[in-house]
Parts: sequence; structure tokens; C-alpha cells
Amino acid sequence: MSLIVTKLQKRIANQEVLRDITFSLDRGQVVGLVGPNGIGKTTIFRTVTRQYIADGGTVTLDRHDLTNESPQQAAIFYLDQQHLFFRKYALAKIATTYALLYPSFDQAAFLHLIKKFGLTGGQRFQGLSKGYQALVMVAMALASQSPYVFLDEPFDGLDVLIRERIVNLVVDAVADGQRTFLIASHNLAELDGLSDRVLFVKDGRISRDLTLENVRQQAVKLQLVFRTKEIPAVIKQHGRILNIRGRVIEVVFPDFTPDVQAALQAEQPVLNESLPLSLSDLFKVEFRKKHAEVG
Amino acid sequence: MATESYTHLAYYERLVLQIKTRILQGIMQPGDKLPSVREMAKQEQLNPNTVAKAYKQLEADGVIYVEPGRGTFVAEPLKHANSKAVAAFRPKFDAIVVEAQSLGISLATLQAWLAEKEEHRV
Repeated sequence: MSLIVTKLQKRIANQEVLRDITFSLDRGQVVGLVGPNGIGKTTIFRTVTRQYIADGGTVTLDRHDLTNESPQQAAIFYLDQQHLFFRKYALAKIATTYALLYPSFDQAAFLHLIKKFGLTGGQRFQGLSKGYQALVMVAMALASQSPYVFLDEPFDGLDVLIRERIVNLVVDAVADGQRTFLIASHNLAELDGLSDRVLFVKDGRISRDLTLENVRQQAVKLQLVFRTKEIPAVIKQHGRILNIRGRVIEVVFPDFTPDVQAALQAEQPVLNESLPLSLSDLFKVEFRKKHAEVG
Repeated sequence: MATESYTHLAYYERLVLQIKTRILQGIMQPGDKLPSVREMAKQEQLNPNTVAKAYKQLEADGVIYVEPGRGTFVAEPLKHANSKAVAAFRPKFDAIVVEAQSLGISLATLQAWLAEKEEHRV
């Protein structure tokens, strides 16, 4: 069972926000949707769930076209954080309301979860702290029993303890291999370890679909110094320069093949040291503008 | 994760090394039950698929074994290394020694490092 988004397009106020969004999600995965603020991550969520009508493209679930169906039928659970109509509701009323919207919404499971957080059904959503609001929204997603859950910046501004609880809820939900999470974040590090794959959003497209575990095995970050001030061609061709300080060049090679290694050795670097590759390096390599790359 | 020095490795490889280290140090002993994939994923805040991959690797290495329906357990340590595994390991070892020497690390230094490992053994 998979959700397939093909060539999704959306113009807002004469601006092409989504040009060609294409990706697929399989069951039992945690997938990150990553890009800087304002790149269109929320627009992707809204368009896939038909809160926005797409200008082009299709969304299919098991070859079943969802383009003309409402999101609850579509088995996708998504809460638009900018339009939460239930802010003033008590938690118990949120449960009864969502049971009307989502036929499979499990009210008992929802109340059980919030009890585990130390909350009661009588408490109003807007009276909760930011962290507890985040937990309640994840609890709603889990209780919905929807196979596909979209979370928009679920960890933004939360402390480590709340983060850990949210990760545990997600881990529990995907461990059976029946559910899939698509998690949007402007911070790649938040998704490290948790996600199977990460999709980078850039220029209205999914610019990369990375399996972080493989990237860590293929990519290297090196600190290099050469005899001459000239930057060797192999770096320009295969590497992405992170920064240059004096003679020291910090460069990421996304795919460090033996050929690249040999070509680099042939330049006889004075210093060739490998550095730990962090996810923020990958983020910088992908999103930093060309003119800033050297300098 | 506690294994800071392995940050260049994939998470599943780090977990494999972490569990092997715990077994070598005696923190985990033969017959001890490992947490389920789900529990380990929560403990380490990792994707369950990553943990499952690490467990598969450990099982292939003969470090742990699975009893269907009961769980995953630490295996008895090998008294004698399996000759096939030794044959596969030797070239890797030789490559590391060559690399060390080309970096200017003397064989004496390497021997001192090995001696350190011997001392730390429980």
C-alpha cells in the first residue's frame, strides 16, 4: 500500500509555490520533508490533503485517485496548525468531534493517551502549554488510525523531554509496519535517526530523496590543504565546498567513490583529514546559494 | 547515543558496535535477553527499521540469536574464531595497518594500542 504524489502543482498569488512535487510513501516508514522556512512544506501538506485545490498533478493511494476526495476518506491525517478550529474545545469534545470526521477515530485510545500525559478530558486545548498541545496533536493523529499521518514541525520549540515522548509515540506507531509518518521540519537534525528517508524541498520540487543511513556510508567531509592556492578540478567536480579558511578547504563529497579518492590523492594534499559529517552539513550543501558557496 | 567516537558510521552500525562493546565489557552476558526492536528504538530514539537492521547484522555475526516467540538473546562467545570470518577479516586488518603506517603511526604504537585493549579486558 503506498501513497503516490505525482507532478503536484500549486500557484498562490501568481507565484509558483509547487512546480513538480513527486514522491511516494510506503507503509511502515518515517519520512522527513525538509527545507528552509517558507519553501512550501505546508503548501505540500495542504495540497495533498486537498485543503488547496491543486493546479495539476495527482495523488493516488493504491492506484486509487484521491484528487477528488476529501482527506478523511483519503486516510491521511493532517492538522493545519494555523487553522485549529478546536482551540477552545475541551479535550473530550475534540475526541467526539473527530470521531464524526474520521469514522475510524478511536476515542478510548485518545483519552487513554492523554491520561498517560497527565491530562484530563475536561481541560481546554488552548489552556495547555505548547509542549502538551504538541503531544495532544500527535495523540489525535494516532487515535485517528489513519495509515498516513502528516506532522508539520512537530518538534519546533519543544524541550528534549517532550521531543522524546513524541518520538516514542511515533516509534510505537510505525513499529508494526502499518503506518507511515511524513514529518516536515526546517531542521534536518531533528529528523536524524528517526527517519528512513528525507525529502529535500527546493524550488517547488523534491530536489533529493535521501536515505540518511546510506548517505553516512557514501559521503565524507574532508579538511584539505594543497600546495598551490588553486582548487583542484576533482573538488569542483565532485565536491561541495563548505568553507575556505586561509589554505584550509572544508569540502563534502556526497558520493566518495574510489575514483574520487584516487583523483584527490593524485593532487598530493598537504593535509587530508576526515571530519565527522553532520546533517547540518548536508542541509547547507543543499540549500546554500551558489554565490555563498565559496567565501 | 553513547558511542560518540563512531559518528561517521550509519546508526545501525553504531548500534551494532555499541552492543558488541557491551557484550565484551560483560555489561550484557550470554543468555541475556535484548530489548525488543520497539523498546530498543525508544531507548535509543531511533527508527525501528534501523534497529531491526542492526539486530539482523548481529544475528548474522553470531553475536545474538533469535528464539521465535521468546525474543532475542546474547549468544555464547566464540571460543575459536570461525576460519571463514578470519579469512574475511584479515585483508581489512592489513589495510588498516598499511593506512596507519602511511600516516606515520609506527608498528610499536599500534602494538601499544593493542596492549591497552588487553589490559582493559575484563
